[in-house]
Amino acid sequence: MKIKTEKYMPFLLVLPALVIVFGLTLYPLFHALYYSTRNTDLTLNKDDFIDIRNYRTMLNYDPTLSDAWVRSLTFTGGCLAFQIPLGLGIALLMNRPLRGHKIFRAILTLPLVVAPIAIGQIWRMMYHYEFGIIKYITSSVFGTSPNWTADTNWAMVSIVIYDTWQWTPFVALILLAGLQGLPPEPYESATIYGASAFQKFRYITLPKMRPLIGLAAVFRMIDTLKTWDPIWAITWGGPGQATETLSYYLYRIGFRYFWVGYASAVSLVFLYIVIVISTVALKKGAKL
Amino acid sequence: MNVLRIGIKTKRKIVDVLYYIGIIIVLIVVLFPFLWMFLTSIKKESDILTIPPKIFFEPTLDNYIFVFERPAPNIINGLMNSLIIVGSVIALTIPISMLAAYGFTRFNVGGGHLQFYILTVRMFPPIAAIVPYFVIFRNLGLLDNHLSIITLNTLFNMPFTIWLVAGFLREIPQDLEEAAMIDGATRFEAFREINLPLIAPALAVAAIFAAIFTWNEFLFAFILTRSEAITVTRIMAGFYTERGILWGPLSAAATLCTVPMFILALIIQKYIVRGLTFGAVR
Amino acid sequence: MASVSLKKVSKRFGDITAVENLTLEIEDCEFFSLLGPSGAGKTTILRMIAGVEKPDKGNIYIDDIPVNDVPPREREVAMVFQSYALFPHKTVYENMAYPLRKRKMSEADIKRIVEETAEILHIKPLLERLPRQLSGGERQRIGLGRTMVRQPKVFLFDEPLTNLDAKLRVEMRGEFKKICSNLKATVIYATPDQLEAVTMANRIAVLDKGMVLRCDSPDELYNNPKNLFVAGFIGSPAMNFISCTLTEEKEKAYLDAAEFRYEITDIAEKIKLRMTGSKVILGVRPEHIKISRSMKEGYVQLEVFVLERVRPEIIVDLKAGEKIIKALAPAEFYANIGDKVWVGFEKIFLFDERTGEEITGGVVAFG
Repeated sequence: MKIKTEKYMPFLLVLPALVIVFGLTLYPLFHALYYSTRNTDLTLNKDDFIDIRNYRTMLNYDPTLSDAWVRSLTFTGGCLAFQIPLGLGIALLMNRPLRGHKIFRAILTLPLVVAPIAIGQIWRMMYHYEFGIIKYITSSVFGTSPNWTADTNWAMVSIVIYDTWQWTPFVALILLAGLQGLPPEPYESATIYGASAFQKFRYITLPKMRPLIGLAAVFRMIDTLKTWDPIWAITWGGPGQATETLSYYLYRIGFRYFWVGYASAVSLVFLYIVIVISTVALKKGAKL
Repeated sequence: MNVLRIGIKTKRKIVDVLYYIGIIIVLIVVLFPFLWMFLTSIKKESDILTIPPKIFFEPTLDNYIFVFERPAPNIINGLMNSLIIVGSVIALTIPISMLAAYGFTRFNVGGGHLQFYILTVRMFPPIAAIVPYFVIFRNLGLLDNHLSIITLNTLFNMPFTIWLVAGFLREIPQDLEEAAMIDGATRFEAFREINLPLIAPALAVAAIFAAIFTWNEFLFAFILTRSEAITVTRIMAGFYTERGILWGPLSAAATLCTVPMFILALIIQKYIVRGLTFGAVR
Repeated sequence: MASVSLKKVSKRFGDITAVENLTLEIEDCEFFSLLGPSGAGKTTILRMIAGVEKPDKGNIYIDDIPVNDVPPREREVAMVFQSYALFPHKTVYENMAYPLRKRKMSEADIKRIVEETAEILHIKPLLERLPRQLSGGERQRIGLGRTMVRQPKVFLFDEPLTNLDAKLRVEMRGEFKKICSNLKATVIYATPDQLEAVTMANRIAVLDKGMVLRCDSPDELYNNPKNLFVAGFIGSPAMNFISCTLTEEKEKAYLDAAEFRYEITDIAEKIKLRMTGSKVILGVRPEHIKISRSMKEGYVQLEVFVLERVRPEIIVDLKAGEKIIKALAPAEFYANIGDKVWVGFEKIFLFDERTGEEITGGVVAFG
């Protein structure tokens, strides 16, 4: 009896975790697989087996889906393009031993702890094409201003700006910790050799920070692909479908139109692709 | 010689001032939306939708009164539910993850593959899983029920928690538990008396992140709750009426939703930073 | 106090074999040393005796009772880890009290025993400190103290002195020996340092790559190594090894090395019988080499390479072809680099080149 528990103990330790994880992931997976081969539509009470037609629809002639993909990639690309450099810049700014350092850092963490649904709707208010304060500020400074969330061309930008506001501190904090961990010796020898601040940055700081920057980028990439809350909060995917990334598209077809069958198929493919991309990115990041 | 030295000192000072200005600008940008949120929450309805936006006005508590007196959904309900859910999620996540992390690091259960599978959960876009979850919970009769939200949030907090605790455990040499066991402890006692105190900071960080994530979670709450298990985030979505969006009460509710997290963040500031940067910087 | 024995024990970690078919008998109340380089399997053996590692094959007995499936806490052994394994979040007092608390002793008893032990180890003033505030030597004594409060049957020490600085190590060696002699228990002491083993142990098991090469008293190992590895491991400075071929010329037999020839006609037959390859390894300890400025019968001429003045003696490095032979000379010896001196071997060992086994039964005297 004693021997038995000793032998199985490691497995027992992990068991509760596995029960939850497998229970809540495998079952939905199979479930989605099942429904993805049907054309279930909860409103029409349809539910027939239609083989892989859903998948073919996806691959062949669903412009809304491919548009959604493009929007997701644009969103992710835009976010990374802003958040990484800005985050690095802020980290560099905060790396000096100035007074109030702790308070600055504390304030910087605030956007990260607030609910997107709450502050997101505040941004919706700020972005309002008539009464919004953002429009007021930008038109005062630049003379003219886009209608932000009401403008199909600018709606996506609005969300990128929001996401940048909320998540750049995350990048900044990670990179700041990295900067603080850098050894001072290379900088000291560089100073002796007469290097400028810019040269030091380019040839010492940047190369050493590359792995960490990569890691932060991977985290942000994974998270931006998942983003949903802010879109609902700020634009509801609109105007039209201008800010409908893949996440939001799935929501629309699954919960507004209740095309459970098709939604399941898209979900599976989406899931698979995200996991593959993320795993590859993580492995590459680990190698960096 | 003298001129040179003064030059460098002043240059230093100027650069410092520039840095300060830069940081202040960043902080203003960071804090502005919160400020606006709070201001709007104490504005009269007529002061909110104005062109140009008003900065000076007569404050009022009307919005808060509205929010508190609203029969359904009631924000007190929402706050209570959120609190219960957060507490339950932490109570579930921490022990389960802790044990799993111990199993993974000391015994290498599953040879890394199980750990990887759990890690992929973090990459899961919740929206991709929400369709099946909705159907499953509907069939189980668990819609609008605390249990479904609690289990889902536990699921999504586990990868980070396990990763964090496992990282900490790996730093603790196995010698310590083994010495304790040779000296008379069972493995369980060794874990409780030796490992546990040493991973306590990791557990604290994990609990905090789980609390924040769960409190702020919207998607699952939105789709899977209605009135019984309604969370404060779902209440945030309930300010749309035929007349349009009730900005005032919305801001009030947003402030109420945000303040607890603010306080939490400022108190355990140190731990948040540690948690965010852990593992990223080794 | 108990006897410990391992019978045909094997243990692998993945592809690496830590211990292979190992058998050891350790007597009651013996000071037994496991000596060998890193990776020899010493730590694995200790851990299997302690019970934190299970052997893949074979049996372990404590006092003739098989303990393979007995958990560590029931074996009545105590172990000092190489890292000392002090609990960082507990004070020194709590660290030492831990085993006693596990035995549910009364607070009064615990206090008494801990303080007594602390007294013996001269660490009483440190009782309220945390491990991170202490030096290596202090930590080591606390690790020792934690084992002593228990009065176990067997003490296991895993390289306890390795992490101390050189001077402290020499000091602690003596203290250790004294404390252990008062313990009245079986001590198993693992170390890569032959000096420690040789000065402290009753018997030594020399290990390499998971196997016991020899198990005997220090004197026996020194005088009759029977094995190339053991001969080269025991003794400092180490034994010199010179590879030679057996040649015969005009009814005399010689051992031919690069720079010299040694006549060994008397035992040539014996050598020829026992050697398996074409070469024989000549081993001679530095302390058995005699140096003379003038030519002597049976001596060989070698050139001085360098003098190392390890007071009170001198190690003379002599050039023999490409190799260096180290010899021990008294302090009065004097020579310049490049001088040619006459060297005689008082006592040599001959080993088969292929197997490493000793060919001649030990001592062959010359000069």
